[in-house]
Amino acid sequence: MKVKVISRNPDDYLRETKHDIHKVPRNYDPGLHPFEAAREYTRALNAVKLEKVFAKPFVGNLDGHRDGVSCISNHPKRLSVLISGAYDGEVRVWDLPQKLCLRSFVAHEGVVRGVIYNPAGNHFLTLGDDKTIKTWKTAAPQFGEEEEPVNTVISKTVLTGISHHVKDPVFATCGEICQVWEETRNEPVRTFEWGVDSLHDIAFNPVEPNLLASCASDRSIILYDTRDSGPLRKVVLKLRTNKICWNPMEAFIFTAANEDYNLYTFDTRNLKKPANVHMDHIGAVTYVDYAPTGREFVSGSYDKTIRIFETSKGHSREVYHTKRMQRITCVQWSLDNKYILNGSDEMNIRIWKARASEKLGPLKPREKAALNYSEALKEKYAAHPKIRRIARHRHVPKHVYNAQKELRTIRDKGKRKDANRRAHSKPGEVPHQPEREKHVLKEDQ
Amino acid sequence: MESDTSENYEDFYTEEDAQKHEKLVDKVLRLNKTQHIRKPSRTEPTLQISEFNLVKSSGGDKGSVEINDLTKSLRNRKSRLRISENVKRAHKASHTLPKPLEKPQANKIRRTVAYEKTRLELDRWEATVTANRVSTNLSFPLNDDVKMDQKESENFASMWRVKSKLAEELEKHEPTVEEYHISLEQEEFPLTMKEMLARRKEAAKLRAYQGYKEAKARRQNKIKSKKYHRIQKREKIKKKLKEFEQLQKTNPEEALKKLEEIEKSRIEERFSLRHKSTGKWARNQQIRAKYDKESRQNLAQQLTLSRDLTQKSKTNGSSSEEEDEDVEKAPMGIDETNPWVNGVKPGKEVADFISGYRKYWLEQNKTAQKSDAEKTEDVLENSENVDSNLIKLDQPESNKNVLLKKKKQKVVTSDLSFDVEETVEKLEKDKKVPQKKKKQKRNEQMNNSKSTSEWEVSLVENGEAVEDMFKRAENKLKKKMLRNVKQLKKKLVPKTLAKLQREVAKDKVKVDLSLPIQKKTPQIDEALIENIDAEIRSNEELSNLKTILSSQTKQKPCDIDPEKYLKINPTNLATAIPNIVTNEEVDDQRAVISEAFEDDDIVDEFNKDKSNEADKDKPKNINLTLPGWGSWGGTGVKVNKRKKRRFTLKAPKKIPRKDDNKGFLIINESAQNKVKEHMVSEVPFPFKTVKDFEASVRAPISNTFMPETAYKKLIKPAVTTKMGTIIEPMSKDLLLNKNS
Repeated sequence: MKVKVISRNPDDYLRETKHDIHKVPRNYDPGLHPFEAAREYTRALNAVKLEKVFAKPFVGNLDGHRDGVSCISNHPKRLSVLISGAYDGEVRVWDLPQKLCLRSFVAHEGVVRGVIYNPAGNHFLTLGDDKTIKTWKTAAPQFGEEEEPVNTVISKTVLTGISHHVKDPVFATCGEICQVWEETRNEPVRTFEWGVDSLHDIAFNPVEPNLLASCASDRSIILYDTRDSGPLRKVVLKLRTNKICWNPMEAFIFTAANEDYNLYTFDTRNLKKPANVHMDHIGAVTYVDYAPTGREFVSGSYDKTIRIFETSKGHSREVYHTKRMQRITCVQWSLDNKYILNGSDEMNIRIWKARASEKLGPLKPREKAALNYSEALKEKYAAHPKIRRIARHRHVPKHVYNAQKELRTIRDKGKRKDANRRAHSKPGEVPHQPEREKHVLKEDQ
Repeated sequence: MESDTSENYEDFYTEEDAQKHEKLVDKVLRLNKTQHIRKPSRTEPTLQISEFNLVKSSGGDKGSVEINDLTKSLRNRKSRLRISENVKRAHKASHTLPKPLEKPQANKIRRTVAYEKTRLELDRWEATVTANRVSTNLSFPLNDDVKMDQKESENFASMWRVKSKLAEELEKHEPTVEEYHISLEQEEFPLTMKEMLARRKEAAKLRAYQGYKEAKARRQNKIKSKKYHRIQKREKIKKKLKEFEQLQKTNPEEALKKLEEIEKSRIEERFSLRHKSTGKWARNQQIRAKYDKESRQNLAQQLTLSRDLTQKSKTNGSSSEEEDEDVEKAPMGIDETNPWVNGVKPGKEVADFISGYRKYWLEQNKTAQKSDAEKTEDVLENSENVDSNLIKLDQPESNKNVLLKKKKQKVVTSDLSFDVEETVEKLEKDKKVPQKKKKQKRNEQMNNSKSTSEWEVSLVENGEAVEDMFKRAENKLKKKMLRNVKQLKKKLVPKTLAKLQREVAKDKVKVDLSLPIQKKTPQIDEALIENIDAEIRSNEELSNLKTILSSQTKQKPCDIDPEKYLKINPTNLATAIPNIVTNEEVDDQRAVISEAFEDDDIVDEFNKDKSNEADKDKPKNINLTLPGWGSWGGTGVKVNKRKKRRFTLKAPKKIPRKDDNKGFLIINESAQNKVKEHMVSEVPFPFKTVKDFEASVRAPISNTFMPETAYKKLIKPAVTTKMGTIIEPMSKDLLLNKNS
């Protein structure tokens, strides 16, 4: 007689240590799982809902300034240090994790126009309306010592902006003219001039550090080469550019924050038209800063909101606002790609998370895997209307909502008019003009 | 006089005397009231010499000292003869440098050159950037090997060293002075000799390029010649035309725009009086034209110019009739002396040709009268041979519209002329002698005429036979056919060709390394749905009713009730499922059913059901009256009837339903609603077909349906960062080839 005995190999169902996952024998035959897609869809829906539940981007607030914050700067080597200048000439050094002010002193008479660390991080430079550039030590003065600049340079011309070379002890300022300085010298090493208009912002290219870009009050963006030739090219837009920022991972890309509520991403090699137009703000964009990954950038605006854009897309993926936050003067993306810091007109510096629902702190591997999974699901089902609605829904203040509605009607009107003109004129006479070709007036050689 | 004396006594004067003498001369000169411009003199050594003092001396050339004069004094001695010679040679060899370009122009050149250079430099990043953009998961910081800062490590080690007592003591006495150090190292990697040379070479090249450009600009600025400018202009026009043609192929839209511009200029020309024969100059020329050949030509040119400019530009697909006309017009005699006659192109070449042709024609007339009929036949044969040969020759060059006409028509093209001649000669050597002479003569004449390649010229011999006319007609037909075929080909081919060219053009502009996206996920690039709180909580029913009301007017119910007309035979669907039910069976079943439900009125019941269903789905009136708003409220107080009527939103009495006219059919319209709101209405961006998108959705990613390894790969995030690590901007080291 034959007796059949059930025998199982314990290797098949027992895990080696308790830290392993339980072994679950599964049959992956898709025929056995008729509701795969439906189940995943439900999971995606839940994930996107949970994302909204956890979306609490506001981290903290640094208060202490007695006037609007005009500029802020990250420390190039340390994540916990921030430095800020205000409209009353005060400069403050902050400890970010503790939200404490470490140092505060009046650096300039009048507005502090720019603050920047040198690449080593042992000194910082401030720039004021009193036409001086002051160098300060990062280390706080000893007890009994007075706050004194290490070096003061009095400039012949008005100064409005500063940018430091990534590695070398060289920095550039702008004002009436563009000047390149060496830290050890009291006279500019080079000066560049093209036209007579004053410049209000300047930025060194972090990847190709001999490239400089500045924006002038005649609505133009000017490119310079610091090595020998000086000015290279000029692009004139329809309205003034307030701020430019280079992409830290793509040498030839920069983004300009414009007065006409839009941001323009340019490819330096083809300035005839912007590579991308980013629209969503409903007020003049005052500041822009790239994430250190170069994939995204953050912009602050006169409409009291901060928006985060993906570089390749024309619309923002996130909008931040609070009731008491006024006009944004400056925004910075922290160098670990986790936080966004912004200074505003009403004397506060705010700290935000770069991804609103991200969990901070160390994660367990399983937690991390679960989060990644839900992220992947959201991506996969992004086009489905329910998920899309939840993922893209944002609450905005009334003034933004109303202004947006107004803007939309204005834009629709323009479009309608164009369409009508096209319909009632000879074919080909009123050609369709793509959005990207509308904003650049000319490219000067 | 003064100068003579001063020369003589120069040696004897001391410096004081010289000054005194100068003063004296001054005084004497002042007596003369007229003001002299004196040469500026320097008393102090300065670094900066004013450019205003660098004038030529007031006394003209006499005042300045010339080296030649100085060397004259050396000629007496033989040993110094060499020096003077050298000086002379140097004088000959040297020439003054050209005036530098004007500043704005020079700056512009410099800027363009520099920009091109930086653009090339930036192009080096293209590969890296594209690779990063395309890659599905990147982890930052990018460079894996984290470099330890050497100095930092040194300090780090020294922190742990135990200091000796002596050292501590010393530190107390000499507190370390904190120094403000700035490293001035420019280059992280010192250049090798080779690299340095290369760099220098590059700089020199750049300078040379710039210099070349400057020189060219300068040269062109200087030229005053009218002829040169005319030629330049013509070249420009030619270039533009070429560009336009290119544009037509690559970018028809742009070409259209350009064409419009041309049209505009034509219109402007038409309503201006330029190039008309009404101006003063033209009238003068007219007067002179009687006697002067040149003025005649001028006038003719002017007129043709105006005609050219005011002529409507021909469209590409011009009808064959026009072309035929052209062909026939060309041989018509153009009166050279009369500029008003419609000469198509009174250029020199054409005029030459025509005169030659005339001569030939006259001669031909004479010889034709003399010659016999036999001879002519022979000629015909001969020419036929030649022609066939020509055609053979032509075949490889079929693109160049060389037209050949059989029998008594000859085409001489500049491209072919040489080869043709040879073949003709060869052929004729074989044939009889008398014809040979004639032939050669003809050929010579033709070659004299030097017609251009684009011109089709046909020679018509006098006595035209009817046969020839037929043949000509045949030829024309053939040509037409050929042309049609060509046009068709053009239509078929250029699309792909244009595409290719466009791509090539793009490549020229910048390096394009775009790759297909590896992982396809829907990309949503649209504005956020931004709302204020109040907007979210809206009355669902109300909004439903509103949508119904708004959409009501658009729908047109159809009034045809199929029941009233006739019963339609069932149509068999083209399905793979076999039609098992036969007609007989159906009839049987029907009979059975009707027997079973004989007493029930099924139709009536069904209709009732249907109307019930319709009622259920019908929107109800909504009462929006607020009790107590504008009138007394409370228990027992009735709401005013008028008010109630005013504030109720009335639903339409009849809403068109899908099953309205479908007879015995009830469609539950709300059944789909629950699923519908979850369904995607259009294919999202990177996907092109519904099939692709469905496939992407169907493939699961979770570990419930996938093995663990696949799952891990599928959920890898696009960007990962290390906690608490600073991500530095990309550095140039990435571009270095580390292997070499």
